[in-house]
Amino acid sequence: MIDRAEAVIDMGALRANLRMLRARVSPAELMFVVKDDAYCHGLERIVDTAAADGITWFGALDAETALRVRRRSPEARVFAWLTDPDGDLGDAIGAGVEVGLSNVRQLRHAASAASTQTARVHLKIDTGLHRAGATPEDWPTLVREALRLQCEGRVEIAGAWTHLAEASFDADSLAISRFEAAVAAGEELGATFPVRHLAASAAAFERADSRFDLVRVGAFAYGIAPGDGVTPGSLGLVPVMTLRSVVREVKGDRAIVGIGYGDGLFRSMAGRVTVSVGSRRRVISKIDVDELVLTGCPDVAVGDVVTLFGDGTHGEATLQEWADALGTIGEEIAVRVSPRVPRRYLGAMETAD
Amino acid sequence: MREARIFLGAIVGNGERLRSDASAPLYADLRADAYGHGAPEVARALSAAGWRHLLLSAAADAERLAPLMGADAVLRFSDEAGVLSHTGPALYGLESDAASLGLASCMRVSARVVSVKTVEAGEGVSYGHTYRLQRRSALALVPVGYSDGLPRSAGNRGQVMLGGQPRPIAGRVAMDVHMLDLGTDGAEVGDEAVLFGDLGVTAEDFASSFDVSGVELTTGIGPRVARTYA
Repeated sequence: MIDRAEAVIDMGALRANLRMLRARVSPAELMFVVKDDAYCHGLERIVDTAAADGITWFGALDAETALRVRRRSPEARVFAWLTDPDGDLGDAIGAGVEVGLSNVRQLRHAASAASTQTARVHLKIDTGLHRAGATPEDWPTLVREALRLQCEGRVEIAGAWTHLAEASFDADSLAISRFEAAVAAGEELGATFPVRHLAASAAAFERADSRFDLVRVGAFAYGIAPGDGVTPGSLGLVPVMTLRSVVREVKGDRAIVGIGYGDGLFRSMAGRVTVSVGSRRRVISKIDVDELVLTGCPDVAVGDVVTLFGDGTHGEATLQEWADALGTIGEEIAVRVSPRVPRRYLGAMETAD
Repeated sequence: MREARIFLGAIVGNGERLRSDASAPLYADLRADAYGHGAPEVARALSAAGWRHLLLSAAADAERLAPLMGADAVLRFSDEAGVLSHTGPALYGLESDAASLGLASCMRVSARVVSVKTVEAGEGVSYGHTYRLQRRSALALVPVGYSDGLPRSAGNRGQVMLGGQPRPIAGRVAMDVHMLDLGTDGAEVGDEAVLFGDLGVTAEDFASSFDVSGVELTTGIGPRVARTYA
């Protein structure tokens, strides 16, 4: 019985996605990205399931999330790459969390947090995305400082990495060659990079030349397809999250459904996406804070389950269909699902929280 | 690193303005965690200012709030919103004609710059390279992305205040960060970028530049953005 709304998280789908993706990118390893509460699927349960299924690398984004992963999975390698410039990294580095960084300031910050445990760092080169990452001019300085701190025993260079802009196949090819050049330049300075990583979901899936030693996969593991008409099914992915609500009230041919923008929907979804009641799709006509309105459905009854998006097997829309209709990507819709929407897990292991 | 500062005094002040015209009991609208402002803290402040009538989203909220409000609190729920007299999001300076009613903004969202670097003219920025630098420019990385409730539609459309000036959001908003184009100006790591709620930019102003409403914006500000109360 759904009280207002619920997000059903299908661990069977998660396992199937991870297994398919690991086989596909092999011999490269797969880092499973669980930032932002595992894309709002619920970090602890997701990490437990993935670790039990053999995932040995987790991407956490920040130190706090990395420590949450570490508590669930003491053996896994955990990577964090967006840390507070003035925050305390001591606990994370002490717990063996590996840190991605882009400049000397961040490198010294990580080194200063090292104690008996050296800071394991992954040096980032900017290959064209122009967010984080050292520019090619600054790269030698970063590598030299890392080597110096490594000699002092405060830092261990664990890897080199970058992130693609996905502007075009050719632009990504250029980024791959820039990455290779940066790795070679670093090696010439005396560094070794045990783990080289560049690709996220899309490139990891499509391009063998992007995989290097490790790929970082978030969206695809959750069954979120890139959109523009590319369905999850066409990639062999199964959507993990199903968002459901319930008809709270019927007024004539209008049905009031207990989910609204307070649960993470955008008002602009009204008129643009469909939800499923039984086997029929209905267009949302209005979205308020705690409810949405369907019109033209005299056959709907109070208590009927309304599926907003899911894996599509019961005729409902997928996230990709919603994202395409709204001109966005599935990730944005998934991570807006509010913490107030309870998560219910299918096929999860019994674990202590 | 990311902060949403909530001005409880402004909420109480808005409430006074809205209440003064009301004859029937006016319910303070605290639905959706007080539209992202934090229902427990707002309830406590309103209670101290004499409010007893609250409109909440669901019964689960009532359990959280009833100790804060005292035994004489009157709690009603969203399914009755249509028949109650309530403040709506105007309590937070949102949705109504807030300026003409003299209602104040109650949430200020900011973040600290994580890194700054200079990139050459003609280069693309962020995913898909949808933004091209007109000249050699400094770019600031701000750790607020769509996961924090900054909609993707803000990419190439929204502006964020940094160093006292509005700076364009360069390229697509990513899940955890966005980039600001500083042109020939600079910035330091740790400088504060203000998205809205200060320097004359209301949530409504900011949100409307990328076709979202102010109330959706504040309600969607995610849990990684630490709420502080002033």
